[in-house]
Amino acid sequence: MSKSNAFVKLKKFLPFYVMALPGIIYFFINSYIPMGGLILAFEKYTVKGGIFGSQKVGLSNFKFLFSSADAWLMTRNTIVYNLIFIILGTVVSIVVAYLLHELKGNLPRKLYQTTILFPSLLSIIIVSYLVNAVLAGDTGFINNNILIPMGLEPISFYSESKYWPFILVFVHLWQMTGTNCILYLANMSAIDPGLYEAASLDGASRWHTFIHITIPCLIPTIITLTILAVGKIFNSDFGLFYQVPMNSGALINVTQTIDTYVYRGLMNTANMGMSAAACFYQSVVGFILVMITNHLVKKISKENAMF
Amino acid sequence: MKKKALSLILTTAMAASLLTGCGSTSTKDTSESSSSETKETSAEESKEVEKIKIFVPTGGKADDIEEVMAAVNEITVPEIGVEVEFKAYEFGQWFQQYSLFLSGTEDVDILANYGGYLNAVSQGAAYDMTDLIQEYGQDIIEREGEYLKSGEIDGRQYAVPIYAGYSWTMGMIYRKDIVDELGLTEAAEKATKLEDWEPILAAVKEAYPDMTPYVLNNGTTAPNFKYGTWDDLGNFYGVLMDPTSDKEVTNVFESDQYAHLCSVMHDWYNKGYCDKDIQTQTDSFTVLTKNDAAFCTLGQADFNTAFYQSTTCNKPMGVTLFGDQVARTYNNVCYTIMSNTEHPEAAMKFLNLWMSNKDVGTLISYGIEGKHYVLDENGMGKYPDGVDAGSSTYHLGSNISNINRILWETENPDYPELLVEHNSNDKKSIALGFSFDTANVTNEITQLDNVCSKYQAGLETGTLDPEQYLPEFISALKDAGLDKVIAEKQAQLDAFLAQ
Amino acid sequence: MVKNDKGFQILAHVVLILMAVLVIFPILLLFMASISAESDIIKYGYSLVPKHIDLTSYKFIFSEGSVYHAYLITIVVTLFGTVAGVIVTTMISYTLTVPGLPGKQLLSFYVLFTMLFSGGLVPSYMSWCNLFHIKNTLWALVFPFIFVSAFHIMITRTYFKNNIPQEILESARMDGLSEFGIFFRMVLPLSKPIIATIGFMKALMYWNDWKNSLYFVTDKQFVSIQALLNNMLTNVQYLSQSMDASLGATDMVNIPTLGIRMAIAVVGMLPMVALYPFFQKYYMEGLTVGAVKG
Repeated sequence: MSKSNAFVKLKKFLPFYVMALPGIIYFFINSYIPMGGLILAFEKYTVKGGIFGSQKVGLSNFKFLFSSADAWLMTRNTIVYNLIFIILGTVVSIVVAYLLHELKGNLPRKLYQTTILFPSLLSIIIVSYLVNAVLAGDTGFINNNILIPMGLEPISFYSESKYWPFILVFVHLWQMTGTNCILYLANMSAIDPGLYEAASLDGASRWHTFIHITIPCLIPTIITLTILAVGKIFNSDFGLFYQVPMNSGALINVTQTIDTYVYRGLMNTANMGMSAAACFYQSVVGFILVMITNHLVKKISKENAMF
Repeated sequence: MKKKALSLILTTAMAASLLTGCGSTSTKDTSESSSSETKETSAEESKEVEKIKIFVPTGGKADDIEEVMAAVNEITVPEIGVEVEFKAYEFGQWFQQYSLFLSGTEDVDILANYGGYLNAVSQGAAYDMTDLIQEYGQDIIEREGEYLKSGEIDGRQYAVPIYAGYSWTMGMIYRKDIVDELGLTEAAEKATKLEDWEPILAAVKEAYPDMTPYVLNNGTTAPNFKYGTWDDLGNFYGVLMDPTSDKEVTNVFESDQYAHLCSVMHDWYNKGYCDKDIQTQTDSFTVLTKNDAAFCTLGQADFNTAFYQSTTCNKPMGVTLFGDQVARTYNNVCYTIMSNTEHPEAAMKFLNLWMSNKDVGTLISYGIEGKHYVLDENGMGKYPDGVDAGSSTYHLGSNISNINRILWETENPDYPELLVEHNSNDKKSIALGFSFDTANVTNEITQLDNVCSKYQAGLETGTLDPEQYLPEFISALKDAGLDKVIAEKQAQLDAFLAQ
Repeated sequence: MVKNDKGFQILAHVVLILMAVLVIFPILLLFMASISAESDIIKYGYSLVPKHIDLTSYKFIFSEGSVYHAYLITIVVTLFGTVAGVIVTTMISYTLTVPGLPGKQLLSFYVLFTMLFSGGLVPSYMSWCNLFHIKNTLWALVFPFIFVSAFHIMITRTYFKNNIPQEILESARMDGLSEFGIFFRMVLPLSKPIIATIGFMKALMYWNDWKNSLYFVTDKQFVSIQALLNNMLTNVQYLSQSMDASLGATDMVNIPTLGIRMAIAVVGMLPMVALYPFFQKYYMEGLTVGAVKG
């Protein structure tokens, strides 16, 4: 009885396992086999020993992450910037996607949307030169074309750390909003227009429909993106925090993140064990946070949890 | 709907062909490897020609590399029984892949190292060639003399440095035509201290308002005082202030000399001799000078700097040295044999031939005479008619081996003689040949490097006021463990000197 | 319809125009810098109106004969990688939404875990090259790191879960359609917006990728356009900064370093801009019509 039951079940679900198989195999090859390399975090790598045979050094590769006077600073910066990016990024992307979605006339919509996508096509190095073109002391656009003609004192942006939290957040949003809002646009276009029509027949205001129809339809996507972002909360976009501020020492208090610290510390020695240790540390924290967030989501709305 | 289903079938078919494609490449691979096995056995039978591979970076062209290597092998096979294969990477690629090469993943026997070989040694990627070089590297030993020590750690030889300009000091590099015009030629030549340049910079600023009097040498890639008069013993953390007599490793950042340099720079910064954004300067001195946007910079300087800079900047350049040239450990370009090589002897034999045989050196640097270069009336190399650097099909450049080759038309004709003269006769640092092993202080070094990125550029460009920030910098360095690093360095140096 | 709609439309235009200006302005600076004479940029800074037009940077880029071939490589890889990658992604995403599938949670975890932990470059390199021998093949540009991403799977799964009504699928099953038939003929057509979205994101990743080419390809015939451009960029940067006499750039070319960075950005970005409207229509026009039909 149970045997035939299992057979029926297998027959029912077999096609799905077949569908999942290519992806499963890919992850096994691309991610799980190289994961053996995590062991590097506990080794002093040598060519002779290779990945599995090098001398084990316990946790000493991790020491440099915690013994620095900057340990608190870089952790704080990494987390706070990421939180701001998650919150503001979500709000701005949704608002922009909503405006684009509700705008009348296909041509202007497409034009605006294509335009705000441009920055995501630029590499961060080019972005850093653009930021420099705008902010530089003598040749920069703000000083040269705005402040000086208005008779104001030029600002030397690269030595004043107080401006940089805003600049970095702005640059991040500038670069990411284009692609992020595509995802919300896609989800908005899937909302049944009947819902809107019914609401407008009831005389609901635009704000009302936005809050009560649009947002609830986006909640699952917002939760998914947030959980995924929480897993990366100890990581940071190296280019944004290192290249864009042009590695200026005066800005380190507000630009030092875990990734920039690791880079600055290891660029001369290229120690494989220590850089593996840094990645491992970021991953473990991300993993724990994802588990916690997922657990919380599960308690509130089971259907939106990851697993 | 049907059309779409069809296109989906097509794409799945593509995916299927992709899988079979993989299969077919792997079968091809095995057939290849079996054929190479047979080759190996035949080579073993005759025991004559060993094949080795070398990776080098280049800023030039390497399209015809196979043809050139065939010509090289016509010399190497009869002479030393070695067949060599070069792989040239562009500089951009090289620096992004170097650490991959060091991890031992590639099939390569000799690796070029730019900016030192210490990482190669600490990862165990460099073959201990102490005995090998005695047996097969006599020409290298003869050429390098004492400087061979630049490839040693703890008395073991790990690298073959190219015979480079070991002897240099800090100097001011400036536009000679401008000082001539302002009647300051003599003043510039005599200005052997940083502060002596103040009146000259003032005059330049007044006469050329569009030009920045003082700029950084390399953009932001190296600190302003990197090439100091002191011997930095591998990094800044503990130096010999007077490399010819001092045996005590000192903290350069605490020295009066460093404080003085910083305060002069700060004075210049306040007087507007440098750009307000000097800390984040995006272009090198060369680019700025070429475009008449800069007057002078501090840098590593020796007998050839003025000539060299005049060529690269395309302007008449002058150099004033801040003191005498001193020879020191300086391994900018060196070759290591990979520790996992199967042909260490062949690799050593080849390095020895390359570094001593002018024909081999010239072939590798410039290609085949008549095709890739021609000789001018002075016996110097130049591109054949109708070919330039852009359209050339082979030109690795002068920098991969130093003087065992013909000279290029843009080079100083007396360079080889002067180089040998200076390397032989200049004063030498007592720490010549010393390499600092950072294995015991890696943790401290990561923190010190971070402290330096916070303060060093600011202080050395004069952006930060040394009165306030230098003490802060010094105490941050001490918190990060500078004293421990200096003590470690002193111990290693004492052991080195006792040898 | 909605009463205050005119006000809303004006507001939307104002906000979007403002954003467009913020985007266009720096990019215009970039374009102008790419066609300006180098000495002008150094002396007067970046400007919206170039003083002298100078196309040396573009000439330099296109003098490298392999540029066109590299474009071709990138286009082939992007097309194939995007189509195949999207199929694999959507298939595994779909299974993650099947009600009652045994092992579904484990599978989600299996996927998500790859986003958090990675073995690093050297182990990946060794495994791809030594176990799968993809070095110097076109596959090297397709498979490592980019082909399927856990991030795309998770957002696609969320979309499927919330926008594909199980009832429709159930009735299709009643009609005797196989599971594959349901997936390809019902689920995918209902999901055009998300497919276009992840398709575009994937195409963008393939288009912008230079690392796979850098690490896995030494044979010039498989170098992608971004790798070629990135190479030029780092080369120019490196040569213009090398001052140490022993590195000797004496016999190297005089290359305009400033303009070329910008020209490289323009050359790398234009084809993708041209390709974009193809994806755009799927998430801009919505699929409401199709949904009703399905």
